[in-house]
Amino acid sequence: MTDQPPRPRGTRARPRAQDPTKNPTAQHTPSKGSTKIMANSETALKDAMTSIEGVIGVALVDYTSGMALGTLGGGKDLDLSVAAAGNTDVVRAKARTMEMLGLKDEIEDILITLSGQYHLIRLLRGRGKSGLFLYLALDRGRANLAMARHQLKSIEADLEV
Amino acid sequence: MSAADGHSPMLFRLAEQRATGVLLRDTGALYLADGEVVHAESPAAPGIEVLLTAGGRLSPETWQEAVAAAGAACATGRWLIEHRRLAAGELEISRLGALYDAAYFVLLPAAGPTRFRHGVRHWFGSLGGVPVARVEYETRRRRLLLDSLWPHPRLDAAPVTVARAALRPAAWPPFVPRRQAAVLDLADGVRTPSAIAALLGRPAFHALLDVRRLAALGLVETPRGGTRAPARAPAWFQNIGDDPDAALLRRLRVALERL
Repeated sequence: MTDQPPRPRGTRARPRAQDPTKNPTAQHTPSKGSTKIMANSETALKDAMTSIEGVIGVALVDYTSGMALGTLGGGKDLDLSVAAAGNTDVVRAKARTMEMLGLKDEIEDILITLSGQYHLIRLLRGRGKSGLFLYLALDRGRANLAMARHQLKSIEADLEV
Repeated sequence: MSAADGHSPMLFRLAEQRATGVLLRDTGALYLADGEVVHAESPAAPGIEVLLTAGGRLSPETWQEAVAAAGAACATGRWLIEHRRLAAGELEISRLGALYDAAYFVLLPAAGPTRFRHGVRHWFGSLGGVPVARVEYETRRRRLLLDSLWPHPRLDAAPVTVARAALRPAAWPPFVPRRQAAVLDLADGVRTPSAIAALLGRPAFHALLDVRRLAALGLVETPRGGTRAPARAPAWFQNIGDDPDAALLRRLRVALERL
């Protein structure tokens, strides 16, 4: 946070004008926008973890650099940072192939089916989000794939604000 | 100062102390607040304003308006969100992208001595920090990724030169992806990967990756010498002071001075 003294409890959601005389317009800003300042992507990942049935882990990944901007879940059996970096190669290979084929279409999602899991990669589109994908690992026994794809779509929409 | 693996004891100590201030090295600066990294900048990495304006996402005027209105209060980022110029998620993503991009250069093992100035804050304002360990991990991962593509770190800072062989179209591989072709188009033997990245409005690390890939394909010249440190002088030269010939020369000099 930008201010030095510890802030009182309960003020986090409200926009804090650092200096009201210098920044008077900050006063009449709806508070809804600023509740999401801190952790927009974190919220989206949490939504995915809690709302999608059978989810093992989820990550938001920049596919040019292979960097995971955020991860949630995973654990010992699935290192999401490693999965994020590795799956950028999957996305890159597919994007490259499409370019070679001259396909003008865009990738919406990529599904990888293991015997025990589904791995779902959803490429994000829209302002400022190109170059990112959401990566979702699901327990095949508990997950509803159609439902998960649908929910992932709405989580992407939430990320836009 | 960093050891060879990029681990920086000073940075971890500052994190433990929950320090606020700026860490300065030859390659850039890392801003900490309460022991977490909130901002990074480096001359080698395009700043967040370049990334936002080059892509047309924000007009330069809007950016200047934001800095003028909120820069003094260290709340430029917050201003952009509160005035609906950028969505919170979008700003967060570009901010983190720029942070890791610059941090890569700041934390290079060869970046020279480290200083820390307590209490300094960045005018962009912090919208949540990233743990030091996370930044270190990502920086190390990036270094390993580059080396796995083509282990020639000199390419990162050297002017990008199109390989002579690549000037003959017959030598081209059947397909160069659009993103890499854009980098190759701007390679003029003067611009570094960072300069090309700034022109394209992309993070510098993306250009480093593309240049290494192009060099691996033989389309970009790999600087000679590769990863090796400058060669050490041969042993006879290092021990020249003990050499009988040197003793002879000294005697000669003394004799000449007496003339």
